[in-house]
Amino acid sequence: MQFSDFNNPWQQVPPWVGFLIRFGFEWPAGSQIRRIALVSMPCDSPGAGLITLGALIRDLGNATANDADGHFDALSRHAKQFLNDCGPCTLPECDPKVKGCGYSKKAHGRVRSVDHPRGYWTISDETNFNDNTLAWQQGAVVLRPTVNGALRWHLDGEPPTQLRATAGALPENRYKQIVEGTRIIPENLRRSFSGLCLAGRVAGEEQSREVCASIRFRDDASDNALDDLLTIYGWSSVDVSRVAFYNSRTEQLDRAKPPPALIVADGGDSFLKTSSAARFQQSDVIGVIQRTMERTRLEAIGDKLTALRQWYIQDEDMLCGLPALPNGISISIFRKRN
Amino acid sequence: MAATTSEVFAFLAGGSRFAVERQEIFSAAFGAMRHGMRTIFMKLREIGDRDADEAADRLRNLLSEWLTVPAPFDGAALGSLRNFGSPVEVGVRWGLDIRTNYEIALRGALDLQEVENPARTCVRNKIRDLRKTGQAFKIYCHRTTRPHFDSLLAPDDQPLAPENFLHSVREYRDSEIFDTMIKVGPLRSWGWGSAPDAIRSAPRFATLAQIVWAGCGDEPGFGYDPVAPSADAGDTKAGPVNHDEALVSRVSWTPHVTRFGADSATHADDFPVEDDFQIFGSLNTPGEKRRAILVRIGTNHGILYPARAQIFSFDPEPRSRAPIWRRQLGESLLEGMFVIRQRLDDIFFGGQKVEHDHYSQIWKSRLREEIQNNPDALVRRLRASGINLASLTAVIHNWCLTPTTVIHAPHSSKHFEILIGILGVGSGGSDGRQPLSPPWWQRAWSEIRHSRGDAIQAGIQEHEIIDDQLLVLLFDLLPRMRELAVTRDEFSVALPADNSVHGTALFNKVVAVEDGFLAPDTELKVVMDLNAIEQWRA
Repeated sequence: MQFSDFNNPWQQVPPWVGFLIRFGFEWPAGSQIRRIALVSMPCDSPGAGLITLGALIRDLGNATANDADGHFDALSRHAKQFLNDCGPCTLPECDPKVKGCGYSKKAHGRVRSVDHPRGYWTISDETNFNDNTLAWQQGAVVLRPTVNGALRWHLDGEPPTQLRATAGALPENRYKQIVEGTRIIPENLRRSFSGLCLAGRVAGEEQSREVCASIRFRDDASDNALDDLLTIYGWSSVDVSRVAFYNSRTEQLDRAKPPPALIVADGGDSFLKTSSAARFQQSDVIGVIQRTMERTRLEAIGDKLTALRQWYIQDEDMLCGLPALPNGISISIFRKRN
Repeated sequence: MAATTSEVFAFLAGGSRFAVERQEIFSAAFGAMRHGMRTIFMKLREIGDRDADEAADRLRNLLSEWLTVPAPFDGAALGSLRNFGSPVEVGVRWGLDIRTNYEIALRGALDLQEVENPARTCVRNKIRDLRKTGQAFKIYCHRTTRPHFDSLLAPDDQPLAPENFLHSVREYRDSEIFDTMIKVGPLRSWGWGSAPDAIRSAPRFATLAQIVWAGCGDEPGFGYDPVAPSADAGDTKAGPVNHDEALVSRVSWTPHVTRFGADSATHADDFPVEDDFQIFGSLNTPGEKRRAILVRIGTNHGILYPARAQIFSFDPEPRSRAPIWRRQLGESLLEGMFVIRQRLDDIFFGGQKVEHDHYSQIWKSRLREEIQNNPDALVRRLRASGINLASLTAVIHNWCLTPTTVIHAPHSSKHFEILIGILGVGSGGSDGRQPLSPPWWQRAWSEIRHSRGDAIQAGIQEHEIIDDQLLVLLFDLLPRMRELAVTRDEFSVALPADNSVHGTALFNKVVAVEDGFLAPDTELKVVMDLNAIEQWRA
């Protein structure tokens, strides 16, 4: 595997890149104890993207890391919100703060099929929540998908939950070579997953994407930019998405799914927002900051860590188990007290 | 071009030896002046009334500047000190003790006229050495102090290029790897001579050439890293270190100290060397001033906001979900967005809309006449009446400027009253108002405060409160605001007349955000000249 940043000549993957990918890969999955970590970098970097990549590769080997389980329930929740609240809402432009409805995002009520991705269907008022029947319609045609059949449907504007075939799936070798010796479950390559999330920079989604696009990995078969490898919906050339995106500026998640298990926050402001947000209070958060910031902003982050110390303790086991730290990186890891 | 992440890590891992070459300067004359000013400062703080505090702040600013900037000693020091008045006047005002120290400071300043500022000599020598050895260097300084660096080289020296300077953490972040950073003054995170903590915690250079006056110590904790705030950034131990709650791997700095100028022992008994910044910090009056952040709006103006204030602002980005909202500076209120100020119609004027420069046209016209006829006499009369501002002539010229969205005027009501009294405008004349209405100068002052966004309605300061109705009104005007924001850095939008809130919303694009100010409440949230804002630098 070779590496290049900003179109500089190809080289072996440098230690700082290897360390950050490994850090994400080693992050404990499925732990019942909430952890919060802060990674301090000496300059602006795609560090958050690299940690996310490591965690993505870790999740490819986890049989439960997919959105298929509970997909029908997620569609039902969306349908209920659409039919009961968002559909009848009279506000000219959706604004949950003004409406005070308690939702974070509008339910548009549109679904698409992986078999016929071009057209969309609308959730029908023939849906019956009492007998757990969903229904959508296109013109006069009404469909009522089963629990299994619902896997072929996904909400408009979101990645498909599961592809029918391998076309559009993730190439296995591309990820296997980044973390050598990793085990990948083939089913996961054609399933989306929302338990891992990259929280973008407050300055905007494009900034996060640009910095990720600045670095590339090359193997014998392909040459891929980090933004493509992350499979974020709308960034990637593949259909499935194994990483959700949280826009820290608009405070919107790119999909209507339960809160992710792990959020990697790109930048100090993003870290402050995600680690304090009520909706993410069960999620692990890894913040990646650069030290080339104004003192007040650094202190705001320091204050956050000080506040955390009331409820969290240093995770010595994780700190001691980290691979060799490249010069210039500092890391703090806290876990919630029992 | 900014160094890439790989270049920065390769540099940090590349075996460079990181060194602080600290040159400490001793000067008997400067030591005397410094001692005198410092002692007066401490005694004025003990007095504690408003006049004494103002004078103490001016002294602190003067000394802080000389301690952090290689300014020439060509009479400027003496001139600035003499602005406080003659020793007799100072003695009458504040007592014999302060007068004695004032005389010491003046004698020191007088002696300094005979010599070149040794800080300038040190910086010049350093630049020449670096050029001789072909090393890439950068000078970290405040933007306004750059002329002092440009002027210290001889005519046959190659002039300094823009790429030789860094003025902000953003510029530092965007810099390439270089050999040496030149810094005059101690390392401080904010206020006079402040620099980014990253200079120490995330270096892009191997050598820090620091030129400091003897006694000026670096701020404890400089090089702050939120991950390991208790870690000593000057740690000489390299490689990964397990601090209390973090794993830290940072560079180690090796200090080398050399001394320049008169032997410290010679004058140690006369004027002991002390850390002025530490004294200034310990004798601060935080009850009266607040930590503030500067928002630069254009080339010459800025607004100080309380640190961490939530500011009513406009994000012109079309995809923004909350284009008009309260945001925190540096976190969610970023460069490129607009701060919104309100100029609402005033109850005092009976709801009748007032031309925002009605009074200013009158007094500015009179001021321009005075400046044309006899500027020196005007300056003398203003000084005699109590306006003892440094560079008063330049300041008066600023007051003459035609109003834009702000009326250029004195920053304190006391100074404005004096100015109007000397100009003799509004006295005895009728402008059609009721006989019991406030004096002319107060009405003119009210107009100025309005122009600065300092709207006062019915005696209540309202700019802390965002009127929900105003928010709704502005949402209706979004398309127009977005259109204007594309082409203009400053614009105003009149609020629709058929509402209970009348007036105008003023929009100023945030050009830059700068921390490190300590200002009284009266100076916050008003548009000021950048030079005037300098006095509040901590």
